[in-house]
Amino acid sequence: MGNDKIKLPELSVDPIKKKESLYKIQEAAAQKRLVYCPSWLEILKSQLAYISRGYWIGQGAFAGVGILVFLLLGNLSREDVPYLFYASVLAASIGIVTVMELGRSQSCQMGELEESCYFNLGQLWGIKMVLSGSINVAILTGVIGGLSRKTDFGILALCLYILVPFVLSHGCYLLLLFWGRNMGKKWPQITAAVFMGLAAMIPGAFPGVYRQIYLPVWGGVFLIGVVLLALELHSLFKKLSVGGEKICWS
Amino acid sequence: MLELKLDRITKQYKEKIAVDHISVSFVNGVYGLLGENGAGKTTLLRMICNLLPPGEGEIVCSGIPIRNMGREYRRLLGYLPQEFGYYPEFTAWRYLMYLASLKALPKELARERCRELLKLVGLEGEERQKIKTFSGGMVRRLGIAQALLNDPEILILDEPTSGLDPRERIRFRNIISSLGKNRIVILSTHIVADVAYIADEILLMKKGKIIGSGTPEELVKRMNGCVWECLIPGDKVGDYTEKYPVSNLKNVDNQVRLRMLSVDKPCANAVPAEPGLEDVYLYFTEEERGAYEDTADRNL
Repeated sequence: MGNDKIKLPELSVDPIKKKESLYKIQEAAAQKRLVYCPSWLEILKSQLAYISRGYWIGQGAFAGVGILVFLLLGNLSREDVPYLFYASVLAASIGIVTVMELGRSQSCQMGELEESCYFNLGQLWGIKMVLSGSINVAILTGVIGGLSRKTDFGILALCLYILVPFVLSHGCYLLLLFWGRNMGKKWPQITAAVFMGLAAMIPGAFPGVYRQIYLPVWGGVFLIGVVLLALELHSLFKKLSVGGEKICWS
Repeated sequence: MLELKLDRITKQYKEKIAVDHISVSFVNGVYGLLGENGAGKTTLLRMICNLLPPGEGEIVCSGIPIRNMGREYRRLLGYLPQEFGYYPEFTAWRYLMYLASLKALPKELARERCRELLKLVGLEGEERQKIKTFSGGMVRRLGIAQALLNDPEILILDEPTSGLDPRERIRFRNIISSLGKNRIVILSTHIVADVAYIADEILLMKKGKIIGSGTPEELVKRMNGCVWECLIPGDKVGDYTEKYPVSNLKNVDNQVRLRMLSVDKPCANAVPAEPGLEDVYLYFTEEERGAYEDTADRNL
């Protein structure tokens, strides 16, 4: 069996040339810059550690208030108005926590520095918005689920009722965040949250009317709100992609 | 070796031209961007950092426009803005680790770099302190440390010694001088001493233009014969300061020793003085240039 094997001739290696080649490879390797490219999950995990305590307290407070209100109202008679009132105020004001977290980059004069990093401000804000959006949607899903048991509105009517103030308020907060001298300041956001909360109570004051017109009217408002919010976000991230002049400069 | 090339870079805000058709190339070394407030230094540095798109022209890094490089350009960059802040609840360590995460440094490497850099800038032992308890100079040193986290090949420092005391300025100069061998370092300042000893090349900027460049020695040499010192009576000081740019004024007994710029001997007892970089800077930042204009202009 061993005689069937093909024997290859031995190749002679010039030790000097071998040494030179290895040296060249070593030099080329030394000049190469090793780069680390973390995955999106790693980025998300690392940034979670740096989100402010105030954000988590705020989010927790909103979730807690939501649960508390529904537990308290659970003992009342089955009336649509109080549930819808409080749920819509919650939906209208929950976004303020996200926006105030985003605004810290400006208020603490960190925006310009963050914008110059590998993961720049746009990407950082994208991560925070996705995280916040997920948490807020989860809270509101719980609210809608709770409302569906306490009221006789359909799921679609409840979703529209909750999502319209949610979407419109986010559009308003983002606009105020990046508008002129208000950049990074908290008081316009807080004022807007109060007004948005009050405005969100309006449909709840006329439940009968809402029941009849929610789909065409509130549905239309929701679509317009989504489009406007999408345009606003597009404009924001486009500005940040070319340096973020006026948004992040100290 | 990296080359950063600015090709007719221009930035205009309405009617004001902040940066006016600047073309310059940078290779490894320390470049001092010297100019008074409002000369356009910060605008130029922001464009180099890709934080501000130029209105005209192109910035190219080793042949590739930086606007096309995106995050790969930012990976090469270390930047210290003129004004920067911090999250008030952050400690020095947390601040550096946070920025290290934004600069895509792996955690172990980030820890090692943070320790090294805190030691380098003299903040060893302060890592657990909240930044809000730091003095202005300590905050500035922390800023310098963060700019070096990713061992950048292009280091941009905008007024880095602002708020530092003389001892800290010297420490800073020594740090920057050692860094310039293997990277491009561009630091902007209106303080001549910051760059006089460490810059390989100085770029003088005024009203958005680079109006002079060269090594410190070359620039100073061009002022030969234009710097004078003399003793004059105190009541004549006003006459001389109106007519000539005065770089120094000192009371000596009942008279005043003036150091000024002039092509011709300004008074009978004037003696030629060894020019310095401050004289060069004074010459360029003067709005009205009198009798010294011809010779100095030709020289520069």
